Amino acid sequence: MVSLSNSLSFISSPLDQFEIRTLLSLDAPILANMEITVTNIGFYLIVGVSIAFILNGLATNYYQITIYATIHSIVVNQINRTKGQIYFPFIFSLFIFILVNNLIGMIPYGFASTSHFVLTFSISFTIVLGATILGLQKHGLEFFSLFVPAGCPLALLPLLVLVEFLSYVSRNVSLGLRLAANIVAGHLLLHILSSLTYNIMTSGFIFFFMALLPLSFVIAFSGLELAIAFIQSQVFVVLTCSYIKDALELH
Amino acid sequence: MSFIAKRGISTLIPPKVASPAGLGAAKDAVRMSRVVDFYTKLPKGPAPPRKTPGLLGGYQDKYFGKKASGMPIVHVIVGIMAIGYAQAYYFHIRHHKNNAH
Repeated sequence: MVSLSNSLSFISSPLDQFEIRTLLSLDAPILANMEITVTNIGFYLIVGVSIAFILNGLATNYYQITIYATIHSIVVNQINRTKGQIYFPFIFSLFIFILVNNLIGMIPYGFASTSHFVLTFSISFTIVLGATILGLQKHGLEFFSLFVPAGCPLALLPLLVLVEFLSYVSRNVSLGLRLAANIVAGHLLLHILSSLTYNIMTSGFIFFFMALLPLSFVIAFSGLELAIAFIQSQVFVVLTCSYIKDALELH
Repeated sequence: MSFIAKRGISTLIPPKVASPAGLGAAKDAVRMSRVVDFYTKLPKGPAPPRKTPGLLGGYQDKYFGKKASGMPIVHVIVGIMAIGYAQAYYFHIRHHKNNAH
């Protein structure tokens, strides 16, 4: 029993992997004592953006054709065949950014930047705010007709406008929450499962072979997480497109 | 025989145009030999692939384009694992070397 409790206590907190640590800090009395710090999330974001840039510069054919065509078809189908093209560079870079950061999180000892709500919320709030500004710029005050469902009775109008407004505002949260929650949940699951498997495997000769079954689950879930990394970035981009379309065409 | 007499005979006898020694010796033999020399010095075989300029040009030639491979992904994974392990070691692992949590 003692050995069991000893070995179980080896499980570190599964939230440990998301901890933000300071790597480089400038602590000098300059610029109004502003603290300039590079944390691990900042570092991994720099790495991710560098990888995206270098890959884009070096790739000559296959990589670009497949991802390019996929994102292009999303933009064309979701927004508009003619008016949507102008948003393609934004959507493409958004997709690559989220995808690369998701995949960096999948590398052992890596860091999942997209598991942090501060990052995903700042992206999603910016996108919805930008789409709102776009709609106001395009349609003026007519933009607010977005909150009025077509053919609704006048008596229900105040309630429906409130509901529509709430649903519009909640896009801010839902867009960012979906991405970060998926990544956090996946990483937590993998960490807990693999810690348990490790503890089982190291507790005895027979247990080593018994733990091959949970190990296969861990491997299977890793594959699932890899798929989620792609799916979530695609979902994020599709929803961004549909929000832009809403602002452009007002239902 | 006097010079004048010789001259007289030479006009009578046709000049020796085709001698066995002078058979292959064309008038522009020197020029031809230079041309042959030039072409033998030219590089033979298919042209070597052109090197891409730039900081990562060599890397691009090696793993992208015609010789596309998955190796860049492996390099990124190894690099990030190394950086990540260094961080994990500094912040976490070294504190638990001999004593578990």
